Amino acid sequence: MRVVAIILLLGITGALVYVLNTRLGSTPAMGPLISPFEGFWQNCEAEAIQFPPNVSIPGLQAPAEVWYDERRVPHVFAQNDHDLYFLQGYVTARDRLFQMEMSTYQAAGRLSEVVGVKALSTDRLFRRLGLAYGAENSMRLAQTDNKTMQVLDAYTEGVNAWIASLSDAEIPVEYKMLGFRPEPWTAMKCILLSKLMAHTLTGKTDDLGHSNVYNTFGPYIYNSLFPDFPDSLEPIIPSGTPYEFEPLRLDTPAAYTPVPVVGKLTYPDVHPNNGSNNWAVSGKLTRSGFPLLCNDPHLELKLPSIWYEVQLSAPDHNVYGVSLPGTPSIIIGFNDDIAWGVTNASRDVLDWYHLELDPTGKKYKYNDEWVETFDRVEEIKVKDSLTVYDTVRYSRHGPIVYDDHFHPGGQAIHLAMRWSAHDGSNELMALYKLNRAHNHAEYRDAIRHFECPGQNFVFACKDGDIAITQQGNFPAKWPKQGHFILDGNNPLHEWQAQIPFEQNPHTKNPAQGFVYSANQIAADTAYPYYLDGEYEHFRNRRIAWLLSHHAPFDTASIRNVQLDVFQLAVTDILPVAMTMLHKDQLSENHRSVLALLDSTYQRAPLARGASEQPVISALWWQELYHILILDDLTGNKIYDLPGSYQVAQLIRSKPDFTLFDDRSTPGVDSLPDLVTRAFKSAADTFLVWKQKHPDESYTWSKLKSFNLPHLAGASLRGFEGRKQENAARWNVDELNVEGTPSCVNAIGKQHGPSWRMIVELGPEPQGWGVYPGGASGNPGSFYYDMMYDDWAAGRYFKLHRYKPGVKDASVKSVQSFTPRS
Amino acid sequence: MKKFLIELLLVMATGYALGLVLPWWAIVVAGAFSALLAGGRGMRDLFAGLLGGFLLWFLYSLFLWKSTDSNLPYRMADIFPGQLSPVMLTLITGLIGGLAAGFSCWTAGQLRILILGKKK
Repeated sequence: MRVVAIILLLGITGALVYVLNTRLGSTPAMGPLISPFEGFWQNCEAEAIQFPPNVSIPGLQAPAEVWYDERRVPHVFAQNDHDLYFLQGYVTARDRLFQMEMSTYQAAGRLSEVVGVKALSTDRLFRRLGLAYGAENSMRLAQTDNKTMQVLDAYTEGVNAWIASLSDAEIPVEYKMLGFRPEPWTAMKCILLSKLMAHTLTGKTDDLGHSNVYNTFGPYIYNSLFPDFPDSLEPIIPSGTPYEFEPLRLDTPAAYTPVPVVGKLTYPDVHPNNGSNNWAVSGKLTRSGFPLLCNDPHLELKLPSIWYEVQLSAPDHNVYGVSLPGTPSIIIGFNDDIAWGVTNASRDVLDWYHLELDPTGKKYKYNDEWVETFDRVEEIKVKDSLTVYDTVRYSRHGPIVYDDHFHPGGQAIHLAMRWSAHDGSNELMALYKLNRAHNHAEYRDAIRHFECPGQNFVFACKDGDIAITQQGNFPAKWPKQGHFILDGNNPLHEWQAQIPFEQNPHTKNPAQGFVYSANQIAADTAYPYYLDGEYEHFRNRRIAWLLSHHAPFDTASIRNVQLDVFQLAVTDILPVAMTMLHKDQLSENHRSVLALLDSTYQRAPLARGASEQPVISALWWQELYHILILDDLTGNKIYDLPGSYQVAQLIRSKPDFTLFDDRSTPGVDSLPDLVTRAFKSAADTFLVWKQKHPDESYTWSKLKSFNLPHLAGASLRGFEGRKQENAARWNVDELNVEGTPSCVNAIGKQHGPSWRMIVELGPEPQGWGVYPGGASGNPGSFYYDMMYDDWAAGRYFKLHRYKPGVKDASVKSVQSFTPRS
Repeated sequence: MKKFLIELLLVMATGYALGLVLPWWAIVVAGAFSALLAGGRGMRDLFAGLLGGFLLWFLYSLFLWKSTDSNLPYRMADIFPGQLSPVMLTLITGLIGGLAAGFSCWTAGQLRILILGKKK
């Protein structure tokens, strides 16, 4: 009897242990997860920094130190390049390992390995886009340069030294939730990460949508919606700057009609608002007499933050700024002599080529001859499922992304992609040199290595120079080349040449006393090359105005430029809309809403988080845009949508534009009718909300409902940005978020300034910065989202760029690293 | 009673010591070990394991939370289904530790009785 009891009990105990130890579907194994010895409890971190003060590490070459300030930013002091980047890898891995791994899994198209079959289509797409192919090309180039490999290898060693030290208890909590472990880091992953950034900043493509607009609506409507750009748009290089070089000559092909694309081709989302602001003001316009430099890159906002602050100090240089977790060096920052920042050049370096394939599918036509494709078999491992093999054919243009067995929806069409990220390039060398640059000549020498993604590098030096360069590997294009799908058979449709470095737009110490960029067009029509791209029309004009009119600046007043919420997008259209509006047709309720757009707001429409006015103007524009444009550009095809600036231009200059008519109503509507209809609809939306929330204001902040999710999104919804206030759940409604994506303070719904930096040059450069997040990627750490509401409120923190050996009260903790033999 | 307390404390002590070096199922081993050494009392083995495992896991998780003042238990409570609070999470933690130790202890206790005969 007892034996029976024992067998029964053994069965129960065994079953219990099994259930607790096993991942069931998407629920992690409860035993490991909830055990206070190895589960999430072990990821609870106190505010007081508790890193071991003495660490002996194999791989380090000489003693080194890392200091931590009041925001737990690491400051690395090493005696040589190897140890410097080793420790950068080590501390970055300690703070952001999960983020580093997920970014590189995404870039490599390996998400299915950890997440399962639901990531398979994303992975297939990323493989077909050829990021790994481009990374391999960059790796081959890197291997020809000793310094590059030394830096990559040292960083890799540092990351792996951290991973090797991790016990089960210390593994980041996301791994515990998702049920996998960190794998060894490689130099290739550093390069994959830079290709991911290339995708984020140059991966957006509208050629397919443009082709459809052209085919469906014809050239007149197309050119009205997507014109080439007039000089009046405040280009980066001041209008009137002469270009005194002999441009390369191109062979322009005959006119052609692009093929239409039917059906919704899936393409990985690249946020349309990815961009940035930067500027440098010369000492002529500052109180200190020294230049001021500012930069705020605009990206999707998640936790952990895309940026990681760090100081890197070695005998030959001492630089502070932000880095990208997963790749060595500092991307935006300042050293003893200079400061620099970047905005996206927004040039089109991604084009599509329509190919005709032979019946076997192994050859494509080029120059009227059949050329063989070469195949690349992508092996996609899928967790809890079979490995998937996807054969991607490559042409001379690039991978044939869409073909007869990968075309979700619509007809089979063969489209190859030519993308400058496919080329081998060594951006790391540009950054390595920039981190150590002392003056303008060295800045220019450094950035010439930077090829993709093309950026506007702003520069300021303590000797007074300011400069800006649009630098990247840009193809020389004939007019409108790249607007549409190109003909893969025609050699003249290929990128015929690369614009030489010296011919890329740049300027130094212009008469206006400042340089700036906000993703606008680089130059006026005097620039001899075709500047194909998708450009900003609002932030640049506002920045130029502020910098021209509010001098002299100091570090306090320059913040007002970064935080400016004046909506040029509203002043561009509101006066016209007001005159067109049939006010007599409005009900009393509608009139009360209209009254909120008072004359103060009409003169200076500020996107204040606590105000209702931006809500009304936004809803009105949204409705109007829908009535004018969206109702036509929908259906079974992808259409690229014209920007707000251009639609506002059309409203002012072509009120009878045929596309504007509302097709759902008989007859032709006049623009005033449509403007009125849009207003009534917007006012109704506003009033309905007010009815549902009787004691609340429909503020801009509420409409935006900004939130800061964890990078794993909804599956880890407890890890979104909150604050450490009283350890209770923070009410995100209390966060007052200003701005719009077209304001200088470009905060959108889950997007905006991912880093704000202000640097004042001088004998001792001073820096201020903030971002929505914190040093640590651990949701259990006080430093995970510590700057969230400071960032929203427009506060900045003093950046500490310590001199070696000189500590002050802001140094909260020190770690000494010694080599272990 | 005293022997019950000894068994209980043994579960907690070995649970802690083994927990530092073994994965989560250290608590299962601790339960079995304690019963083989000091158990063999039928249902009391179950209760010693339940209570010992509960106390160890509950108190340790509470300590980790309170000594760091970390936000993580609030976040995890939101990820778990239902409207949990961090305190409930510590109790659930204790419950799981208790169940694992309890059944293991009870099973091993029965084994001990089989081999050595029942204790008074």
